[in-house]
Amino acid sequence: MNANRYRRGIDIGLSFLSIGLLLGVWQALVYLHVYRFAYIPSLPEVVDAGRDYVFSSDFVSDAVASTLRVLAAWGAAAIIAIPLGLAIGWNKTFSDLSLPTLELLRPIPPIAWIPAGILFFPNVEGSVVFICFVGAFFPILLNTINGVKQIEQTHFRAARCLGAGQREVFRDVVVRGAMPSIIVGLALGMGIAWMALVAAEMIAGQYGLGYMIWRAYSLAQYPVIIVGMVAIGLIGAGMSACIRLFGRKLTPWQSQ
Amino acid sequence: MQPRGLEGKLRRSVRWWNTPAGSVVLQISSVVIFLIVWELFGKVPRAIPIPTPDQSVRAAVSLDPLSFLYDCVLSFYRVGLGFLIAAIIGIPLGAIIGYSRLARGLLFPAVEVLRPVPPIAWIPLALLFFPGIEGMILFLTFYGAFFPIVYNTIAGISAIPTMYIRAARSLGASSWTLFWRIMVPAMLPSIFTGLHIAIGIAWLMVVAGEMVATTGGVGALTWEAYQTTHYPLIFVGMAAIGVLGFFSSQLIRFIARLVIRWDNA
Amino acid sequence: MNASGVTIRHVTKKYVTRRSGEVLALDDCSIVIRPNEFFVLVGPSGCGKTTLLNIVAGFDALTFGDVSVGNDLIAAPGVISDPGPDRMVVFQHGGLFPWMTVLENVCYGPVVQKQMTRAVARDHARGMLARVGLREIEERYPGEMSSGMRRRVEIIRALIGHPKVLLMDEPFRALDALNKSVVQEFLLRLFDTHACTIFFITHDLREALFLGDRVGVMTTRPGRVKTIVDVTLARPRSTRMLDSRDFLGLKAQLTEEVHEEALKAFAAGEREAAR
Repeated sequence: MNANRYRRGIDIGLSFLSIGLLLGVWQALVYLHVYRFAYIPSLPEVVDAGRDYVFSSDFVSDAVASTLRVLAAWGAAAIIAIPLGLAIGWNKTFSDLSLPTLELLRPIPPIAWIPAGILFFPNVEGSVVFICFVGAFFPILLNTINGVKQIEQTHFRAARCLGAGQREVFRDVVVRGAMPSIIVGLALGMGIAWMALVAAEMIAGQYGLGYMIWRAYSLAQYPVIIVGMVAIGLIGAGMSACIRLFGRKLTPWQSQ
Repeated sequence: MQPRGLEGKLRRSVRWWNTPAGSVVLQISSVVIFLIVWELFGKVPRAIPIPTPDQSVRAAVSLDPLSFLYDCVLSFYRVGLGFLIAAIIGIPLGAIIGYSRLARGLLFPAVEVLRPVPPIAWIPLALLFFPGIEGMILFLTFYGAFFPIVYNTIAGISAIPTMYIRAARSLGASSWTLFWRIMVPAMLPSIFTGLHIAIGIAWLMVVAGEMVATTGGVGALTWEAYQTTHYPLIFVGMAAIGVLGFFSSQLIRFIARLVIRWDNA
Repeated sequence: MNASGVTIRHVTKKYVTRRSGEVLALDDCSIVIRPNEFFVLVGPSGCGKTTLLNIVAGFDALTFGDVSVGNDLIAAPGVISDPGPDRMVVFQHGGLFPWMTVLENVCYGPVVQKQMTRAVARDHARGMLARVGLREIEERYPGEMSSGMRRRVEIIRALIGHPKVLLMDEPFRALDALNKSVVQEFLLRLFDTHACTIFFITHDLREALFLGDRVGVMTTRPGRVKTIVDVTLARPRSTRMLDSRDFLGLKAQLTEEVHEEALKAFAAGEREAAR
């Protein structure tokens, strides 16, 4: 008990030391003008910019716009990819008919869809959401398919023995058995959608956090870039944490 | 084929689409239907019509093969170099973090703090820092590949069964043999999982970097096709990115099979 | 449903594999299991015991012969009836749904067959669990229990719908010796108090004699029924019987029958692995 607490103390101390070292090395490189580090803003500059920026209406509207875009895209991807994945995983005929095309499109990273996305949609909003959608779609789809395929044959057989028909097998075995894997896919999909969002906003956006760091670069407000990066990291981590929490609620049998 | 778990019904009614040959027919028709739908989308009247498959093929044919090949090789080289550096730094770093408690406490939190920031968000800072485009793109591919490699190496080393290590110790292995003959082989599958994910992200990063920088490469090709209104070329660029990305991950898989001969998976 | 007998006549099963071409898994197997009988089939691994059970359950087709349960034809060449609640299976690796609690698992059959409403099924299942002393774990998930406990719940889930025959495919294989004898006694008590026919597969001879009314011995591939041994031990049985002279005599007899097949199976396995 005491030894455990001692160990925990050491771990926490080391964590602070570790993050302190990271920040310290950054400052040292900047102040000592190592190579081109003089161009990089220092911590005090970033903190100053952050204080001004975080409370500005610009920041709030950027953050809200980005969050809404990613949620819309991720939600649409989930609504389409989960039923599709369940059907592909369960039914061989359906899988034959749809999987080859999806496999053809899968190796194309979401970023490569940016020009096509701009072309498809008349407005920026549509194209940014579309690019995030592509990012979220494949992780959710593939994890759903794998989730169904990983269900043991025994569970299908047990359900049939107990008198379940095709509909009940789908509801009680396929959907529930694939659930843990679907949640992993949802979390992964959110991560990639968030990354695709930053890229799409940087290249095509008119507002949003990705656009914000790009504008800060163009306007030479360099400390704001790092403020934006921190904001992007925090919001992204927050959303992933929400999905994990929600996922645990949905799969109470997964003890970990 | 019938849904799984319905074996009883399955054998009573074998239709043509349930046979292996029928399955191939369905798979081919999947792609054919996709192309037809795409073609039909191109026929929809709108301000800028969506380029059709045959327009895209014609655009591909009309490309100067040498400059196209140059773009492909350039992107491949950028991905490969960043990926290699990430592997050279990431695997030992992951191994140290996984092996030593002190290193874990000292290095892991710093890695964890950086992780939530998507590598794409580093583009402005990378543009600022690096004097040339090549340095920036190299940094992006490196950085994108770095985290999956580190994380999977750590996972690989912590998943080594203690039994292996004890068995080797009781057979009298020195720490050198223990490391090279037991721990490295045991964590190789996990390392290759990391490399597989990493090469995918490296491709994503190179496309992003090239779209921003527009100095050669398939990403720049795609973006410039849009900017110069050569719209059918967009799909040629996307196809090239897809094929190159697929080829790279198959390459990693091939190497994994060569190296990990004891694991058939 | 009432417990019924199972008639297996001349069952032959061939299948084609890519590696070794046509394989004869079962060759002319005939077994008649009487209503309310506990029939155990033993044999070396890979002899086709599980294939035979799968044919009865409706998971697998046969090439020749026929199977009926009671008066219903279950399987014949070109005929295969869907798995259903009349032939309930207890699976080798455990068939409880990990995403349902014990109570939900036990209720599942009656509810999904629309025999009972959910509320009635819950009461019924609670009563059944209480009678066998499992009431306090009803809200647990299978992942939160020991494997011995899981087996007990699975047996209850199988029996609650009163199947015509209970098919058990090496259900206690993964249990350690202590757990195994506890669950075996649990099954014996249920068999004594519930009218049911059990078709049980194992390669543990002690288990076979301890549980069964008759024990069939299968040959190594192609699987044939080599001999059937009558277990002349009185019921109710208890672990004390395991040391009795009668038991040891039967075991010696059975060991001799099986050992020969085990040696053949071992040699065949080595040949296959070397290929």
